[in-house]
Amino acid sequence: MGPVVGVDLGTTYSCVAIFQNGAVEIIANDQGNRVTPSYVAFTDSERLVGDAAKTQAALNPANTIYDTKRLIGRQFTDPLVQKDMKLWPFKVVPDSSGKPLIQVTVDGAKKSLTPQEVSSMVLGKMRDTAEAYLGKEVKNMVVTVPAYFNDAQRQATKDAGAIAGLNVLRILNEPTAAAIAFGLDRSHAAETVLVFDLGGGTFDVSLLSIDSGVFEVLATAGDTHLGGEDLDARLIQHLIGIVKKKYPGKDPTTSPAAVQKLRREAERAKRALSTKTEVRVEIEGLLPGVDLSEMVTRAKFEELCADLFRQTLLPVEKVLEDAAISKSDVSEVVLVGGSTRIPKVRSMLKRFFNGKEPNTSINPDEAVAFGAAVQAGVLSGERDKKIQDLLLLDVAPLTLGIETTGGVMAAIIPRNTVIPTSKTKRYTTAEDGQVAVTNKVFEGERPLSQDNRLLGTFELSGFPAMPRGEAQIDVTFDLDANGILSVSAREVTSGTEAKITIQNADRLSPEDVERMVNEAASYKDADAQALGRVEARVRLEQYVHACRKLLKDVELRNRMLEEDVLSATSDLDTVDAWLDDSGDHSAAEYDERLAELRDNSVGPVFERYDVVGQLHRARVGLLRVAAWRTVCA
Amino acid sequence: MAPRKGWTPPVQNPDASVDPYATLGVARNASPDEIRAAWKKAVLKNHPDKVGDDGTAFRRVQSAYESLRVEKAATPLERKQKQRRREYEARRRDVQKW
Repeated sequence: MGPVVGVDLGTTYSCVAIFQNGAVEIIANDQGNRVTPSYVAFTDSERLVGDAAKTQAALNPANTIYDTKRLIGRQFTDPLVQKDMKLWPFKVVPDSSGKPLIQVTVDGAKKSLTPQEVSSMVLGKMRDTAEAYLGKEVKNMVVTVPAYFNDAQRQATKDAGAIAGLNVLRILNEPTAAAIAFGLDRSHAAETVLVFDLGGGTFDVSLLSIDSGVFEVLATAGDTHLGGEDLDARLIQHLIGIVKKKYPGKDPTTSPAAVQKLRREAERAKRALSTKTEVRVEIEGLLPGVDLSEMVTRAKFEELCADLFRQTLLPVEKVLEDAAISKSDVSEVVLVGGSTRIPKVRSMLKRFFNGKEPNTSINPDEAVAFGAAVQAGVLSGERDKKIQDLLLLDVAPLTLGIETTGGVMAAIIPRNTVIPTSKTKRYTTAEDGQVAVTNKVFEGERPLSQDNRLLGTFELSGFPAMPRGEAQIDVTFDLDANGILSVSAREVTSGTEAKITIQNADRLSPEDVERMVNEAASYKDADAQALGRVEARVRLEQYVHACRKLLKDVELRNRMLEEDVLSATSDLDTVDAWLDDSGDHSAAEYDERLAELRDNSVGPVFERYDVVGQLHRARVGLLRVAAWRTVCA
Repeated sequence: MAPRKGWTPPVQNPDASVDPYATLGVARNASPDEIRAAWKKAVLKNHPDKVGDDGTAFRRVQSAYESLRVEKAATPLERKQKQRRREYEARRRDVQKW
């Protein structure tokens, strides 16, 4: 099946890794960075993904998209979506069925993208990173999601992979992946580990038992909308308040570019406050005539975020209670996610676990991708003694059940059940002569189904009329290893059957996926064109450069006629001027200029002095530099 | 009036009939450690990640282990868990009384 990579698709940053030759390698992107911003931007001429998109965010705020993990699998009316929208400089609108769409302007025309499509671009970028490193096509991936993601959010993430033309072999829970990274090289006897994963946008807590290679998730809980971004937002609000006070009548929120600058500086300040006790936030020209220079102390930051920090302890308590394990039974508290660098988070956890020092032995930014790569190795059948006996037993994060009479939620698969799993329960009819039952499938923890999330509805009909209580209807819930549900029902006495795979309202239809795959392919063409253009330009540039280098050669200059030197120099100057003053040309135009130089102007001159060989050598040296630059472009 | 399309609560659990000891291949008087060891061997052999099937065999093994786990509380930690679960239950009932 070719290489299988592990991808941590994060709210703010993503990371890709591969397991090969008995070890995991985190793959650096074309900028040499081991994590890539989950950013996508549209400029007039091209689409940017990753570092390039984040770098230009303040200049192009309305067309720079990030945070799609906070939109994926949610409804437009979701209160959290409504709240986030206020801080996003890009526009989000509802589609006809109430799902959010991100609106950008490309070439003067409005374009709407689903969160799945944007995520697919980030996944595509991670694939490209892996392909560049491996020198092989990558078709298969293990993608991680927060453990507390619901069915819709998981399905949508899988769809994002499909749009990028990728086969998502497994949707893996992030804290579980981190636990693998933690436990892979540990030869301890059975231990109970709590993974505390506070990332850029989501928060998970999982409790696992690690017993010589078998990773068994005991319980999981979390908040799919709590992370570093929320801390940034508090700091941004604080800074906005200061600006408004100092400059009455000025409001930075009216300018997307100003908000973007504030966001960048708030993130930077937050990071600095993990090592320093105070930091100065300085933004010159935040708004016309408005400069910001403000000291923020760690104490102030902790005060601004106090309730968010406290909120992180609730899921910790919940997993301990769910698994019926006491604090003292936890052998290690493992920290994952950039936000666990915050001293307050660490001290709070330490106090909660009666003075037990949290374990910081794994890289909080890379651990999830690391674990995903190990699981990818397991799934690809990699023969390696390290992973031969490694097995992951993950759980369903939310209770799944059906609605029974009176709107009561009847659990069929309780939360924290090991997956894959099938559970069957037998029900009967409530009325005499009843010949059909409507099956409403829900997910959630509340006792009344109306408070939980409806996943789908289906009907079992056509069984013979019987007095009430006589029909025997087996309802079977089946959760596969990805946590994706299918439901079937069967009336036992007559053998009537009905079966559905949950295709909830948030799911893209196969037609939608196909359309988006095609669009993604067209981007790929555009990207390839852009790349071809850059390569042609670089070819021309380095030829010019090599010629100039040769002309500086003393030995050659001494035997060259002055008029040849002058004509060659002027030809080179013409081309340089053309390169400098004009915008983008097509690859063909660059190649045309190159051919002109090589075959008609300077090339024949050098031939006369028999130095074309030297010219080639100069080019090869430059080629190495150029190849690197091309990749970066 | 058309019959209401309702459900009533479960009348019985249809898959309670399998013998968990036979599934795991352990004797009825097996110790908790033996049960856990047998389970570990069985899941490593049957998990879909290892064999690439739809997980039918794994599901059988896992449900057998889960039923024994509750009954016999295989490891010291599980015994503690079981004890604590009972306490939680008792507390919950107390709360309901009030």
